[in-house]
Amino acid sequence: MWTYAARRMLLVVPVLLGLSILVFLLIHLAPGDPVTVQLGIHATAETAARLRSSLGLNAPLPVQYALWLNRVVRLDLGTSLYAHAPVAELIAQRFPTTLALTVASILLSLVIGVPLGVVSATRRDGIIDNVGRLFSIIDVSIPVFWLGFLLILAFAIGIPVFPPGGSVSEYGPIALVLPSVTLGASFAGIVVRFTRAAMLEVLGEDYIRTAQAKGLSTFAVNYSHALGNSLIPLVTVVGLQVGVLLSGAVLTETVFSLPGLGLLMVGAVAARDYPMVLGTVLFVAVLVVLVNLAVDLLYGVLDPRVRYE
Amino acid sequence: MSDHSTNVNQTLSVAVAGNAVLEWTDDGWLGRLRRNRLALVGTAGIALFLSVGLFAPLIEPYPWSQFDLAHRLSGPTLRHVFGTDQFGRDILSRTIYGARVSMLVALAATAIGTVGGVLIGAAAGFFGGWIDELSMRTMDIILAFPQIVLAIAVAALLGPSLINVIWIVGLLMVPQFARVTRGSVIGVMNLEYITATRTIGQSEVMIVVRHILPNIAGPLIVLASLAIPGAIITEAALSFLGAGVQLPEPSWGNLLSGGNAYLLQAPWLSIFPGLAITLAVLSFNLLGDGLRDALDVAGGPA
Amino acid sequence: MVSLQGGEPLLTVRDLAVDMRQRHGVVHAVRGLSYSLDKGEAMGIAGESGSGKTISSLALLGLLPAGISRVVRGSILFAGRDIVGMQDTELRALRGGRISMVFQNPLSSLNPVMTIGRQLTEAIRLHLELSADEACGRAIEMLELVGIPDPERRLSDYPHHFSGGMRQRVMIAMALSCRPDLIVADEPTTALDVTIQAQVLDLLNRLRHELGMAVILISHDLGVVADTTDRIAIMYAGRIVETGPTRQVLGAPRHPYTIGLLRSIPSLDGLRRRELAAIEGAPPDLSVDITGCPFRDRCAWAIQECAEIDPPLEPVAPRHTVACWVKPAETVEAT
Repeated sequence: MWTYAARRMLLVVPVLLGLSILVFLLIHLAPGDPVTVQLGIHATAETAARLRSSLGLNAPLPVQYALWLNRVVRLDLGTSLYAHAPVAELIAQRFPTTLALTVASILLSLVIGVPLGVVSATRRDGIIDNVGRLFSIIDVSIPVFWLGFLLILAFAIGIPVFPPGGSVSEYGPIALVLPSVTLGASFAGIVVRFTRAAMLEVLGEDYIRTAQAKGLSTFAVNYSHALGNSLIPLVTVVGLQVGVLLSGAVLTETVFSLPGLGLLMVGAVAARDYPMVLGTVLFVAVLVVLVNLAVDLLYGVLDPRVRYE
Repeated sequence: MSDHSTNVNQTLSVAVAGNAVLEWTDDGWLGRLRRNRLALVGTAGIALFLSVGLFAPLIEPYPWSQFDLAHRLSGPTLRHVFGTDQFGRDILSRTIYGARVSMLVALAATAIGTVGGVLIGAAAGFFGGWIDELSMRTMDIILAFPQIVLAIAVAALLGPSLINVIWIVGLLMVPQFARVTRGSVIGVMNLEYITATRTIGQSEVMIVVRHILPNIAGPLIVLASLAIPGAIITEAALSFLGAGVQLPEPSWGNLLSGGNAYLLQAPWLSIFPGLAITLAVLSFNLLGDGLRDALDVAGGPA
Repeated sequence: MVSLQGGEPLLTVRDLAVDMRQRHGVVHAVRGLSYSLDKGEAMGIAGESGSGKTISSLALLGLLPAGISRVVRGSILFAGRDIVGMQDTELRALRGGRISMVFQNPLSSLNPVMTIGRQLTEAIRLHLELSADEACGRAIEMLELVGIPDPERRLSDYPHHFSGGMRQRVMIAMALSCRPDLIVADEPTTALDVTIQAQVLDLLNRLRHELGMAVILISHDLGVVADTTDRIAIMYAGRIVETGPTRQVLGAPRHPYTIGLLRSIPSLDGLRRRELAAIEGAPPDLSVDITGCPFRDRCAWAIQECAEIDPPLEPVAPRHTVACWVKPAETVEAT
């Protein structure tokens, strides 16, 4: 088990390095020279000169990368052109909201999606199955930002309960409800699909037949034996969709004006606040990689075949 | 001779309460596809949206940029079937034109993704070694980024425009195609390699080319049909966030963001473009699902 | 069929017919199967894949795949009750409790994420209504019985901690744990090494005598069936074509198919230098109705009648019946 964990953690390092290289290259994509990119056109000559030397712009690219990487590892992601504050600080401020939104959405999507997927598989081609598959494919087709609008129209205007937008600090946690419902419902379609597929595959295995031959009730066979085996791949697959969820979170925050990481990034894009944009991208990418690692390790814990290797 | 025991093993353990079984005749994938009613609905939808996109200038009741200040923010009427926006521009016309933009981006981006992906994947599979390692690691890194986040960042850096959106969305699709192609190439290589080693160097390449194409066509078609709706949504998302097609040129995405400010007064600004996106994406998804079932290919999310 | 032990036979299958829906149409997998089994008796069912032997055994437990198979006619009487058409609740009481099954592939027949102990006690608690502790004790007993060392510790192990042979032993332990009247073993040794095969068969034999259970042993391998059964039934194309005491049928077969099967077993006795005789042709397509004997296309003795009328089972010796118009009496060297 520990060899498994160690192996997984080692594999992450090259990916993180690769990520950082990609982001570093992106910086050089921006129009204008990196100093302007980092400081904006209104920077004073001194600041520009200081940055120029610290960036080592005359040095070859790999050296610049090393210098940049050095700063990044110390959590110095530059300064926001727009807000005149360190990027890292702003990210830390906004991140909890996005985290809360994402977690709530995952939970909601599991609550809706897993039962539907399970029943879909156990009563294959029945009414619930057809409804479930139809729901799934329609749900996947509805853009999350449109769904947000529809929910605002329905709830905040038609039945004024939830605020149509605004932050947690303004309205309290209730501000998270509609956005979580939006993102959660949007993700539920994929969950239904995965659950159904995992269950169907498990139900076709030999050990299910053995369980039936022992005289176990259908309920015991489906839930005790089949679901237990399905949950493991399901959890890992869902965990791997974190990237998709974060993208969805960005869009949802925009619709609901929820001040999280997503809205921060979108604002930065509009303001051409390059350090902020790149800092956020790097943060999010690293986060996704780390979550994937966590999911991998979780899999190692849940599956006894791996646990006791 | 059918082996009853294996069939029994495969189907036995489904704890099911009575269900229908398809009576299958083996008339090939096209036959199976034709019998899938949802896939046919999807195909009809695709045809509809493609033609709307193609013939947009001929269909739109009004030029999409035309102001009609007398009828600003009017709801759906006979004159303006989808209503008008804050400048009196006809929403239906703008939605039709948006279809053109979306179809264009989706198809062009998918083309880029396919060509790029196939080239990289084939090279990786065929040559192996460091070319394989390097390209696949790069693909993995691109896949490690949440798509929209990366797309926004690049769009911000390059400046938002239609061309840039096409390139960005296209490049984001390359890793999936590369992976699938590489897998198929390796599969074929293992098959043919034995005979290939006995032939001259040139023939080896010919064999590979002649045998790869039919083998990868299946999974690639399924992947493409499922990637196109993703491209539509990504473009819409980018335009929605302001990192894609810029106003006043309409894209379904920026129509939605434009409607945000008037959500209370004029919900039709947001309802119709969103509906268009949903129906277009749904059509492609239905066909893609149908193709996947018909071709018996294990597609699915990477 | 007459039971010699006085009293009712434990199991009577009468004219069982099962249809299965496949991709290309409906297949008549079992076309009129009849046999009976007494308490404590061991019967082997031999035949190639596709002969219907597995399907008929699944029917015994009511485990035919729902939706694609159905019993067209016939009855399966077990201890006086007909399994065909039985309610689910009653069937489940029988399964594992009075009739158990051991399946072919031990590597995939155990739930990989559940401990062996849990999988064993599950059935025990269900059928014997014991407390958790009592059930554990019984599980340990069973593991000892099948020869698994250190059973108490092994209860908390997972299936992948056991080798193939040991897993099959665990399956047997599971099947025996509720003292069933009948065990159906479908190719129990096919997936195992030859040496392990012998061990497992030995075990089954020993336990059968110790516990007095009836056994149905299904195999395509005549060697497996030869030493462990009292009676044998040879199945072909969904029907029994020959049945009788094992030694008799294998020593003096009277059906062309059985003769062919025995001839195709290689002899280790190098002196004979006999050619390996494969049976020419292939089994018939069971999705069409068959007139006459299903074996006639591959039969060296076929006569006119064989093409027209399907031969019924007729006795050639006490308790030895054959379904053939010719019933050739070729001698096959005993292997």
